[in-house]
Amino acid sequence: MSQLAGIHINSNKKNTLVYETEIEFPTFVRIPLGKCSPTVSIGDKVKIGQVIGECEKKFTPPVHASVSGTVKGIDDYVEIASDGKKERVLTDRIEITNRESLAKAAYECGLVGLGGAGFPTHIKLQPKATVDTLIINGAECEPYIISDRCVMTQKAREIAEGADIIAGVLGITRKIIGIEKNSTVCGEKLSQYGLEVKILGDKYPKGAEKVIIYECTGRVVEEKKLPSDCGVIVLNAATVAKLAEYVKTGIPLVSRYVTFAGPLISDSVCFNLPIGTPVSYVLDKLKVKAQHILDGGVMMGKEVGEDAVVTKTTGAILAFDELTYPKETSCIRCGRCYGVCPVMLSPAAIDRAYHKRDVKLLKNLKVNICMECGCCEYVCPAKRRLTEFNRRGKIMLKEAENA
Amino acid sequence: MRKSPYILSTSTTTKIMGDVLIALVPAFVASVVIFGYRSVLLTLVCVVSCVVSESLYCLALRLGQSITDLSAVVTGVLLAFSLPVGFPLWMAAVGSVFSVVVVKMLFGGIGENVANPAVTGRIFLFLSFGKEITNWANTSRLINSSATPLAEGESDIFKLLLGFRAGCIGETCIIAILIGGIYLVARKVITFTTPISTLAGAAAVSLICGRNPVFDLLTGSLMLAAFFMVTDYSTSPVSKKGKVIFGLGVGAISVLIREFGTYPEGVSFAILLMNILSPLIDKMTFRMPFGGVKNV
Ligand code: SF4
Ligand code: SF4
Repeated sequence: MSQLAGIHINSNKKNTLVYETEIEFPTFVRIPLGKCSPTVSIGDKVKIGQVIGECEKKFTPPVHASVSGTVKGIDDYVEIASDGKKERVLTDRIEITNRESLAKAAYECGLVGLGGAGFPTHIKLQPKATVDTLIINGAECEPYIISDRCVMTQKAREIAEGADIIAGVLGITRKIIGIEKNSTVCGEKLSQYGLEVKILGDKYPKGAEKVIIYECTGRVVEEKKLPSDCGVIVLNAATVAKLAEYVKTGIPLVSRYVTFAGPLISDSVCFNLPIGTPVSYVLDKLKVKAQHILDGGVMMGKEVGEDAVVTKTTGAILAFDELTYPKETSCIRCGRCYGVCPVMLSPAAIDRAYHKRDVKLLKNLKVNICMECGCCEYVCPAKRRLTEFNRRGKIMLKEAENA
Repeated sequence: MRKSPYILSTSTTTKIMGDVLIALVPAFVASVVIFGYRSVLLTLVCVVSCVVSESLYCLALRLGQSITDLSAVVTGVLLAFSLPVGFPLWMAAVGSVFSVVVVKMLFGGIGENVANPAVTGRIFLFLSFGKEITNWANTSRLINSSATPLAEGESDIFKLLLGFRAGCIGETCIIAILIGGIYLVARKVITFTTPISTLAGAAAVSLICGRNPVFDLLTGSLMLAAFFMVTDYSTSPVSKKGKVIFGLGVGAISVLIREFGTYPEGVSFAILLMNILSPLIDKMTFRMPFGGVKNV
């Protein structure tokens, strides 16, 4: 089986186990509600794990209070002033016996894909097709980020337990965890707990869903199809660990590991932070003054403002001094972007089609398959903003198809 | 606000073109040794004319200056390398302006041009000044024959490798060209795919026609073209498969012209022809993306 293409980038991380760094709880949190509507009002006293937002459609799982204290403000977020007591709500014992109870547990845990995609886990756990393989995504292929490594170091047992729960209910026979070459230190423990450890190639991006499925099983997810259509479920390592933890303790998703890194921070550090923790609070503690802050990695992350908070999908916060585009010049048709695209697209041709607004060509070039990994733009000598053109091309195609 | 990705490789167009220029240094040195100092003059005239005409074109049309990408310099050097040492300088300047303005800039500049500027410039000069461009007289004190081996038909391999023969200034020294070519591959500017396909295409047709393939590979501008012209990004297919077809085509047609054409040398025409076919080859060799299904 051949490896898919990609790029070699300096990962800025060493092959070591990672333990979280201690940090005091923030004095307040601002928890984003996303698609949920608030279920509390200003002045309410809340405890850790209490539901504060719910979505009517039950597609998006609920949002829970991550600190105990008083609700101070409500908008598209709920702001809670912490009373420092860390009181939490008590829950009934959670029993998982069948598909319904598994999906219910994932829903009530507030679980979404913690790798960054944020897809509701309870939906993933109700596949329409029969699945025989569970792939646990431990390939944190972006440079700097070590959050999943931290989970794999500290919660190998929970990952295995979570995998067992899911496999048991869904009748899955193969449990694979895909990890990077430079996190092999985590591999031993994981395999002791009965997981099949697959060391992925060292090219970025190995953690992309289609890529990891192909490298672990040789199966190809066709366009407009789901992984479950080829018998696979992919879940992030932290997501699986959290599920097991929830079953054991009843504590829903109220905190997560977040890596703080970037050129302005000498070594990547990992914190376990309540959801809603203001990013500036942690940066201040680290004595970092950043002009620009990224939520996520350098390849696929997004710039956020100073008032950003830790969300359910925040795997990393990266601090930068400068983030400006280099000068863009004409495409010289060097073919580098074609060579590195893991899904074998033709980025330079998409660039031209997008700028000509040629929807038919965009469709034939299969722009919809682009996973926005950024490899094409990374290698481009002309500094074309290929990934952005792909994003916009995808939207252009979708709009044309819906019209 | 900038969008992801936020880190980029250090590769730039200027660096790539700079590497091509470095790779051309050995052939340049060889040309000076073999043909004397006039080859410096010829190269200089072509380079300056190319750069100045691109700069003026950009100024006149109020486009951003693009000469810093060094591609005009590369075009100048390659054009000069495809001319005989005694070629009148003003004609060389005319050819350079044609290469850059007509063949490259009018089509939209680097990456947009259909035909290779240096190659097409040479064809333009060949059609306009046929006598001067095939005048190999007094080319060097080191060479006593005034006919190129292609026209003459005999020579020994050692001499051909070193380049002590009549011919265009940059094309004769095979060893120097190979050093440059290997440098380009080592720097990942090109791969061996294109040059090898080109040489293979030429050798195959040469064999079929009952010619001497070694001789065909080492004479004319085939070797220079295989590494520096057939590999031109803008005017060749992007995919590996496409590059193989493209190279085979250039090599084969070059030798076919040598065998059946009225001109002794056909590499430029072969490249131009394949340049025109390149978009078609690109279309034919389109690879289905991973997980893609044919549109119905
Ligand atoms: S990498 Fe950049 S310059 Fe090269 S073909 Fe792709 S878009 Fe064009
Ligand atoms: S961003 Fe899209 S087109 Fe570019 S390399 Fe990644 S998948 Fe391919």
